[in-house]
Amino acid sequence: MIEVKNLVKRYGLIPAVDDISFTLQPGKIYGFLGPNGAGKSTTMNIMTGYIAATSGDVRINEYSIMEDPEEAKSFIGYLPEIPPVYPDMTVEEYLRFVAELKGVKRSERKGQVDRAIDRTRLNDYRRRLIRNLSKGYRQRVGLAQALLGHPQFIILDEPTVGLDPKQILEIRKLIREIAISGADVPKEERPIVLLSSHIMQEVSAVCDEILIIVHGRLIVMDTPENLIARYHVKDVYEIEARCTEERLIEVLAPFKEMAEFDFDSNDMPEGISKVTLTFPKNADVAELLFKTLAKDGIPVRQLKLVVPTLEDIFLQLVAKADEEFAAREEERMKNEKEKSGTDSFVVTSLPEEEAEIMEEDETEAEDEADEIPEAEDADASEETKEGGDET
Amino acid sequence: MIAIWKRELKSYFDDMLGYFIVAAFLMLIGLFFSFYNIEGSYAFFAYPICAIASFMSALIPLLTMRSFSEERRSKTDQLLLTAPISVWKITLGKYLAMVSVFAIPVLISCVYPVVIYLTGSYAYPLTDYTTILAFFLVGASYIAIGMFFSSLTESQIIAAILAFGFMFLLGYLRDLSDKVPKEEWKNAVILILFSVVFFVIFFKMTRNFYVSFAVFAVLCIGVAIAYHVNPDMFYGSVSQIMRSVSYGETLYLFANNIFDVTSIVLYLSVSVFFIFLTIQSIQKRRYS
Repeated sequence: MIEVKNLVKRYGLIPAVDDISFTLQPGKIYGFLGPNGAGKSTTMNIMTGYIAATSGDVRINEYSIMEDPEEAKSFIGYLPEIPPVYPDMTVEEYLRFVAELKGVKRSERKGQVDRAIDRTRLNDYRRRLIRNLSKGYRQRVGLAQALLGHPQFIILDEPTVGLDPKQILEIRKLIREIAISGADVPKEERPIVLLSSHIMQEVSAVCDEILIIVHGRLIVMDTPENLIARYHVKDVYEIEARCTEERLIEVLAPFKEMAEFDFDSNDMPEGISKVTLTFPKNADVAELLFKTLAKDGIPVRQLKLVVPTLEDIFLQLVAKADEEFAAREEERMKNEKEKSGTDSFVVTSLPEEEAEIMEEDETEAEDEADEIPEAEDADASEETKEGGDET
Repeated sequence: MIAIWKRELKSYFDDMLGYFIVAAFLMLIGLFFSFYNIEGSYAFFAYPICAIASFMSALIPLLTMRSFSEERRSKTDQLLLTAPISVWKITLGKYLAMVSVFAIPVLISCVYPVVIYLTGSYAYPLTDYTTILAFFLVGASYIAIGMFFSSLTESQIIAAILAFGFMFLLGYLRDLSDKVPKEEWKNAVILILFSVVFFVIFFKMTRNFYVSFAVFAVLCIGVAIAYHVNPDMFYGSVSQIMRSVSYGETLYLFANNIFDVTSIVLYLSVSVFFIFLTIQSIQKRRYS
């Protein structure tokens, strides 16, 4: 089981991950979905221990990635956005190296490497230098690497980006195979697969549950079916018929009480009208509509019930989150202005956490005489300002 | 750790770099051996070794420049840092791989004292071998320094230039130390200036004005009190500091048949210190 609790990661004052919490259950495939720059990779990098969180914790089988990183990491197989491969090694050499790095026993190493090569269908390439492999095959090597050491949690960051359509299908099939491969072990030991993508269709094709994150916040976590059910609140019928709009209004008058009418015949050919009727959910009026129109002899070109796709839902959610984010930012700016304007200074949760990082840095800092990332410089001035206010 | 050591060592000899480093050291050793010992008929192999030491600041950065920079640039550090292995093991594996490459020419150079012993009228194998040992330890500490600079940047070239500049300065501080004024008050002023530099660096690193200023104030007051109590101790103190920082030069002690334990301890502690700094710089990046 993976438990993510109140994860926050800030670069300077800008939150990349903003208080995310979720729990992943064994034997399932989870999809991390969000627009570019939503914080998917950052969250994954924190979950795998590559970078540290500003606050919050990730527990993997009860081991904290912050406090017992080595134990926690031993359960994870990670394929980052760019496959971490060494171009000067052959595929087999590289996989042997990773197996050794992950502490796979000497006697099992060869077997595991062979199996990973088999599963990712790299058999013809095992003696090739990685330098000479195409992007798709490097991706497979990266995936093979993630499978070594029998990890219980497989985390894949955009595994299909840059692949051709055939390779995409193969990788998806492979991901499903990995998840099924644990069917014979006890439930709590079955693999968890977490993959990220910015393509809804991919996530809905592969995953059991979808986590949508926008601007560093987790806005929805649910199965695709539930998502559709949850956002399918109205029945929308589209009718295209050969008559004028006025005539349509006249004929469909009996439905006026139940439905909202929306005419849009602009893109239609000459003589065709299009109307969209929005009914309450499960109105089941398709046959009735057809009969009504047929009775008056209006030729119907098309009559269909429009069900929202996951893509629509996703875009809708992102648009909503965008608005909320803009509002939050405005609020923050306003607060900051007030803060610098007055002497009384309300301590939000922000400075405390900042102070925490600062302390950690202090102990290390004496030794490092060089290189300060620019983001910190911005902090420095911020920090003194806040410090000045407190006294 | 062994996995990383093996991979690194192999990658040095998969391309030219490893061979180049070994060949360059061997060439220098051969060249200076023929100058000093064959043409100059010197019985000490220790002298050519000391002469070669000044070339280390040019060669060691080539060896160390890619150790962490390249991993960061190609994002392979994600593999290492997400593997169930601690940062100090990663660092130590890499460090030992580089030390191993450096050890190859050092081991081969152990043949030369035997040649002198077999063919010369005089031979001082003990002096020669302790000097070789000291040379090896100085090299190992330079490797730690170079590795630290490599961990600071994504660019191999910048890592190499920084490391070269730093080592070059280390080597020449001893010569420069004669140029520094010896008078007590000037030395005190220079020390205060050093504290200002230290304050700026400390402030940059900690982002905490008050703590940095407190440290700065303590340093300044310390200098002031010490100067008030006993100004004599400031006589030539800066050049003294510069000379002790330029630690590579102490190789000559060994060549003069002095087994200087202090220097050995110093070489080892510089290695340990910079390995520690490397680990900190990697950890720091995870937090920022």
